[in-house]
Amino acid sequence: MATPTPLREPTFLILTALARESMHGYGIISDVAALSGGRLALRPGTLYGALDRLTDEGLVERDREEVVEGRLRRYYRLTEAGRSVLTAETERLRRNVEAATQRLRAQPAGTRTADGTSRGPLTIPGTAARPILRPTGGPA
Amino acid sequence: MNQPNPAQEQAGSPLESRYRRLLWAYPSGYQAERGDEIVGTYLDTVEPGRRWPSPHDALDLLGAGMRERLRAYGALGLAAAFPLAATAALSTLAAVAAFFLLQVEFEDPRFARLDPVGPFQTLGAVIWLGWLLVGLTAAVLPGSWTRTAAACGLLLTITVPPVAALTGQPGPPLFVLIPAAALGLATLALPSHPGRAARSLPPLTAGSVAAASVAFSAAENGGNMFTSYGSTPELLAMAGGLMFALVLLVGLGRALRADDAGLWAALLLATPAGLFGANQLSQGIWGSQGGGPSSAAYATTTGTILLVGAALLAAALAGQAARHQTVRRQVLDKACPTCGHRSTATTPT
Repeated sequence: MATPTPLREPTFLILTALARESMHGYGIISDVAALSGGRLALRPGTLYGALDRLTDEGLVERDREEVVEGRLRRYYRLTEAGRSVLTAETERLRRNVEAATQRLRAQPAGTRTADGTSRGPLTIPGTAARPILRPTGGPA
Repeated sequence: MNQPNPAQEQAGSPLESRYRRLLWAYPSGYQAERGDEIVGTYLDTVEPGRRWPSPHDALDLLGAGMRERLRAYGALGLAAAFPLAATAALSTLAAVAAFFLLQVEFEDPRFARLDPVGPFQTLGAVIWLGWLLVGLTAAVLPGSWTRTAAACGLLLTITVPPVAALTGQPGPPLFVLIPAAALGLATLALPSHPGRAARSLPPLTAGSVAAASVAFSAAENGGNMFTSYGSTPELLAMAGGLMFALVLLVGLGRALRADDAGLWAALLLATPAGLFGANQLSQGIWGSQGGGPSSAAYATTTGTILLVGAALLAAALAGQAARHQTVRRQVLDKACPTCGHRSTATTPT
């Protein structure tokens, strides 16, 4: 089964977590939480289901195993195909962000306030600090 | 969550045993291969001092285990089918609720020869108001809230008959309540993050049926086609058939894009759809007594529909598993024509 594009947010963040170095399950959970600013708390059952799927799709592979204080740690790493998919998705998102940024900068003068700040439909009171992406749970 | 919990606190602890017990949901081979890793990660993530897995952890493990089993059968489409079936079930329930409320519960109780319950014919009005509220919840609140509301709706549906019996108040008949409870059960799988369709369908179907009911009443001009639950079995059978046909149509459309979730959803809803027609089917097979089937005939038909529905689902799963095994064996047996290498990897599902 081919990886559906655009990637779902949990899948994107799992691949992003593995982009720098191989990681075990707990490391991926912690990194995904940090990357999402704490919004996305993957649970182990969901994570390993996603890792199995990504392994089947050839995007992730097992790296090595170790036993730390009686607990089995299995490390996973990104494959070349996984790196390509993540690169393509990152490029797609970057183009979207650039397009949105240009449109916002080119906002007509009539929609700006007297102090020069923009005032438009995207400005929602009380949500300025919130991330725009919707939190996504369930199967990654 | 930067540092895992110290292993000494949890290794071999009752908590670890409890997490291991929850692994039964996974296939045995998977448990043996991945059990230590999964339980170890759970123990890393829990806060110190915890003695029992949290309900969320238990649900996560059970859900992931069931998905893994379906994956082994090559039937992951069934896991994806549950939210689809739940959305169709809630949309149907909202429509049925609007119809019963307007066409039956608000009708003159003398038509049904019942003692009214306030402004309504029966206590069933509480059930229909409840499901309309669930439909509204689906439109505006997060998915987890809607699932909780759906659980309350289901509880209401199965609680009203005993309450009606205890208080001596009239309630809706079983041929209405049983399919409603079956659909209510299906709504427990509503999606956590509903899309636009899942949000808009329940209020849309309820609104459409309400508008059609009002228009029908106006056109009827004082007529009495629907006056009590006893006058609705044909319409219920049609509603069940329509729901099944629409979901099947969507399933066939998705199947053209190599997505079988819609077909699995149709299979899941075949049983509730059949239950909607159980009254009519009973009369067709066993004949009618006093305008309806006898209790024994209705119970036999309902039991048969439930058994056939379960058998159909089991047969479809077994067929899919056999097909998956055949494809997998063919892939594993196929040697590379150049070097003779045989794949040892599992086939993608």
